[in-house]
Amino acid sequence: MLEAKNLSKSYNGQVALNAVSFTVNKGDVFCLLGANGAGKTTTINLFLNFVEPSGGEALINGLSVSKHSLATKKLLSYIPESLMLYPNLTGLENLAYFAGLSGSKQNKEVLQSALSDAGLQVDAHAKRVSTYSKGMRQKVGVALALAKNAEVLLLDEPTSGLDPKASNEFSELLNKLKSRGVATLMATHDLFRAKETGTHIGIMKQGTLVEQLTTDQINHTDLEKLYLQHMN
Amino acid sequence: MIRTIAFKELKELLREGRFRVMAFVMVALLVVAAVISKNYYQWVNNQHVTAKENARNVWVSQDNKNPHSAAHYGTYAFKPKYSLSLIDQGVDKYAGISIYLEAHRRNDAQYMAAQDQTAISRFGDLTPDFILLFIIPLFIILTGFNSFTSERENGTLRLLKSQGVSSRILTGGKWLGLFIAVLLVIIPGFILSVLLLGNVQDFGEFSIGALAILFLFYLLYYAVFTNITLVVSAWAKKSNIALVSLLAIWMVACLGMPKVANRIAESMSPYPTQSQFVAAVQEDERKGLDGHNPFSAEAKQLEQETLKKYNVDSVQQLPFNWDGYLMQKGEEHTAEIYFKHHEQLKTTYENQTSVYRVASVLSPYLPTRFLSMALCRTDYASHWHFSNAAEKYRIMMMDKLNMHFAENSTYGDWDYLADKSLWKDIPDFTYEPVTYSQILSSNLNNIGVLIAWLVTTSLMLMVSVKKMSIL
Amino acid sequence: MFLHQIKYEWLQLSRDKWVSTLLIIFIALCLFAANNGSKKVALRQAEVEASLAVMRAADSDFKANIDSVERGLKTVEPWLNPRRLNFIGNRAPRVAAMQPAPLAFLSTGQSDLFTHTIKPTLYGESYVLSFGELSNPVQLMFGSFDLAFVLIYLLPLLVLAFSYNLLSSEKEQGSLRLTLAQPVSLFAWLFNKMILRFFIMTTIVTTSLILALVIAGIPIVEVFSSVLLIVALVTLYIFFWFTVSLIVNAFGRSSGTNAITIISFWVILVLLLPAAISQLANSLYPVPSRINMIHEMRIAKSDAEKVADTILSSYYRDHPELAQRDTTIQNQYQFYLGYFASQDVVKKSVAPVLEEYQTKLSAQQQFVESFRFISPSLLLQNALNDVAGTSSRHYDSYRSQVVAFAEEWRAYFLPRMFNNEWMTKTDFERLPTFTFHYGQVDSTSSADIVGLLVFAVLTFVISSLVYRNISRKVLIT
Repeated sequence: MLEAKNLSKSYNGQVALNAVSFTVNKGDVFCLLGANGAGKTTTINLFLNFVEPSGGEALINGLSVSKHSLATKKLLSYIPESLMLYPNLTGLENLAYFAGLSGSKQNKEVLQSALSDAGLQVDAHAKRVSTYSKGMRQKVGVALALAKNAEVLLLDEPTSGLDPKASNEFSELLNKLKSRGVATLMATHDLFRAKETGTHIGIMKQGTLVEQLTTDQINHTDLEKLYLQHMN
Repeated sequence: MIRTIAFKELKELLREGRFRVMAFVMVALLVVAAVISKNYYQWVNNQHVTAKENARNVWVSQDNKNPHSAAHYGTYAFKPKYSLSLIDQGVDKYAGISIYLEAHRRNDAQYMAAQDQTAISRFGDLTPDFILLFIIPLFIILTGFNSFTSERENGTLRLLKSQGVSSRILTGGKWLGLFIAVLLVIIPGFILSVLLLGNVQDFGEFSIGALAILFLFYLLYYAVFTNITLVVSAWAKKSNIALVSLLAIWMVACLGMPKVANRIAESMSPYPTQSQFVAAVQEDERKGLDGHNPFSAEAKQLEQETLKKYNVDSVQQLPFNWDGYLMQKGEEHTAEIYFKHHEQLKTTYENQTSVYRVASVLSPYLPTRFLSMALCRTDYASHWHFSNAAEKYRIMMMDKLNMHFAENSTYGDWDYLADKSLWKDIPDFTYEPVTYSQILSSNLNNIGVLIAWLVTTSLMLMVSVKKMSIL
Repeated sequence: MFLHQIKYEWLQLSRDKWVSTLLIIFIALCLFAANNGSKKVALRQAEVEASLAVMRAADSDFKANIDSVERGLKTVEPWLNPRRLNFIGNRAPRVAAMQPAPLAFLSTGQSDLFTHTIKPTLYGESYVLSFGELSNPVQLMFGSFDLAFVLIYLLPLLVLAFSYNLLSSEKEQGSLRLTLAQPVSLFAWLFNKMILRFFIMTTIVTTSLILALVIAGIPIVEVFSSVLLIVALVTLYIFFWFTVSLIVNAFGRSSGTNAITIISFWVILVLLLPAAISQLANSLYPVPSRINMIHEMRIAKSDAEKVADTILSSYYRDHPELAQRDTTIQNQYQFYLGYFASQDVVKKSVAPVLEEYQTKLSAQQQFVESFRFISPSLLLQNALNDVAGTSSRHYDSYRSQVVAFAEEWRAYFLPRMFNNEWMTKTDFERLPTFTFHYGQVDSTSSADIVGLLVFAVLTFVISSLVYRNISRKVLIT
């Protein structure tokens, strides 16, 4: 579903990503771990066609992202570290707007049920986003993925800054999407969540994917050891 | 302490590309404007000098002719240009340059430059006053709008406050920093103008003192804008809001208010139109005595009085030519009529001026505008002064011509020709402009308003910085 | 997709109280300006009407007088005899009035510089007619708060206020990342945002204009094509400023920097360039010197006057058709005929000076006017003055039409005087009358609209090119 083929990116000669290759299949949650500046966000930006790769290819559903940027974007949904919406519109209106931009016009009931499925209380649907907490905004992001029937989910540290309860709720939502067969690529610092919700783990260091494994191969303590081993 | 802050402000500004570009553009604009104006000034001035000589030559080289024909032929008075007009052209292009001096009529100045130019010229000219009055305030705003807001947005304001810096010192430092930045642009401009003015051919009228006072007024104006900029920057929550508000203030003060004041002045005391003015004068002339009409009742009455005075029975017996005498009396009478109507016009103009004075309370641009043109002798008052001087000369000239006719010819002798030496006997028109002390004393109002602006905005600045939120 | 986006943009704009505040202020300014313009036009109209009324009243006085003199009921001094042609030609001049064009309220233009009622007389010399209006030069300098001012100066600022942060605010808010993750092209998406604002602005301006027309009591049907032209001009002008804003936004700077950049554009295009052009034109190609012309004219005049007294016989040689038919009677107008003959001599010698001046002046004006293609605001000003009938060209035409009328006036009286005729009551109906023909003024508005169109297309093409080659990194970081 999601494939990185020798993906490289350098900014003015500075290598940010060095021949990274991995595949995320339907129902997989691929967690990218690594220090700040390891290349996690760059990888996600490449899949969003926010930046042009210097080498290699990012493929979604077999389509090259840089060549078919609009077609691939139809398939994906993206939740950045801090999802920002239009403060003057309500949660429902924001959802309707963005869902509409991606070409999937839905009626109000569908959108509302997507919001409810994403865990947003019904009385918050018609409130302006300016009154929302960060967790509530992230839920609108998930609802967008649901409404759009996204096959690919790109998450850039979606749980950082969330309180433990909200963070837990978010993980459960991910599990829900996983069971629907969504392929998820998530950059995160949270080893615990990665082990819990992820199916695959990749560890990045200075632009290189230094380790790839499945979560059933390893327990939490060993994962932490492995991670620190790479970082030092 | 203040110095440290001011120094930091300046250093920040000087390192900023935006400021450097703007400062460079400002100086460049001033230079371009000054150079163009200087060329234009010299071109116009040469014309004036030649024209003045020509007018005199034409007058003096008339043949022997009847003095009254000479009076009809008339001559021209040209409004001289002063070197400070290079800085501020004021209303020059909307007020005529020459006055035709002839018998029986007080003409208004003719040939305003604007009438010969296309509507493009109504956008204004790229002269130093355009830069000084419109663009430099904008420069101050664009340089200083984020003085406080950026510190707040970056969180450095919290840091500063935690160091125990008092708001007075902070304000003083910021103010100085911004004002010195303005001086960096203005001082080269000032030096340049001294050099340029010093190079202008007829140096006689140039007064460095007047230029210094002009410079001082502009500094007051910029201090007001510096205050306003900092007040808004302290008050606004975000830089964007500060910028937009300041631009709105600039628009209102520099572009909007003058036009709105125009509208109010016009509806409160409208100027008569040319044809209304002429009709009113003609109406009075018709009622009064007419030098060319020996049979009108007024002339008859004058005749009786004169005959009685000289104790003779007929005008033929008078010791002078009655025609010339009657003409002079008629001339005096029309001069009075014109005087009366011009005084009325002047009242209208003064009423309009007082509207601008009131509007000055809402726009620091207005008092500066008026002060600047007054010192450069390009304001309407200067034009009036010139027009009055020309009229005085016309009255003198007509008196000489008519009395010469009266004293040297006999009654009925319309073919009398005066010797051409008479033309030389009438002195050339010389004009003494209003002195600077007169200018200053008649503009005390504007000076007062400008100072009031400075004081009020300074107080506002102190209050707003004290009340300023740190977050 | 388009309508979908428009719907949500509209929702956001309508919830922003700044937007509605600004729009209301703008409409208020438009109406204030239109009211100012209408008042000015009403004054001008009243002045023309008053002059015409005075003329008509005087006419009926003269007619009555002629009647009583003819019937011997009244005796008058010979030089005040209304039956004498020269008396009527001089004392009963026609008002050569320039009635305001229907849309004069749009733009004061040059109308505050010139008088609109001229009364050429028989004795007067047409070339010295003064067209200047009496006014406080301070008023002229500050200019009037008319619709042209609002449209040329303030409208771009309103456009800029609505668009300076079109992209940058999305970036600063953070919503841009999510938008760009959707399958939309950045330029199309941004263009849609702009188009909505553009429609709002054009609607507001058109509505204000129509409202102003209704208030001013101008029947829209009669001026429909002109109104359409103005709407087209203003639409292009608005579009131009929106695309300028779009281009500035493409560089991905902060909203503050965008605002400063765009304001600089405004200052350059609306304030500096016109001022620089007008000043530069003055020094590159100065207006020919009026002072010089006066001097040359006086020289020519005094030379001509020396020979003028001996002129009448040669005049007859030039104009045998004017010679008196019945030679047994002494012509009562003998003196005046001599006067006119000498006047002609003077005019003939002064004419080349004047003609040369006028040629130079119109060449200079054309030179300056061709510079208007440098700035859209100059084009709009020119077009608005053109529609309002207040451009320099209109006043040039007024001047020449009046001068031609002065000649016509003289040509009416002269042959009759040579023939030693009297003025009769019925002759008043046959006197030449003046009507100002707006049709004789060449309209430049089609060139102006093409110029504005070029500007709009140019900036649009530039903006689409800029967005095609935009570095996406600029948008994300």
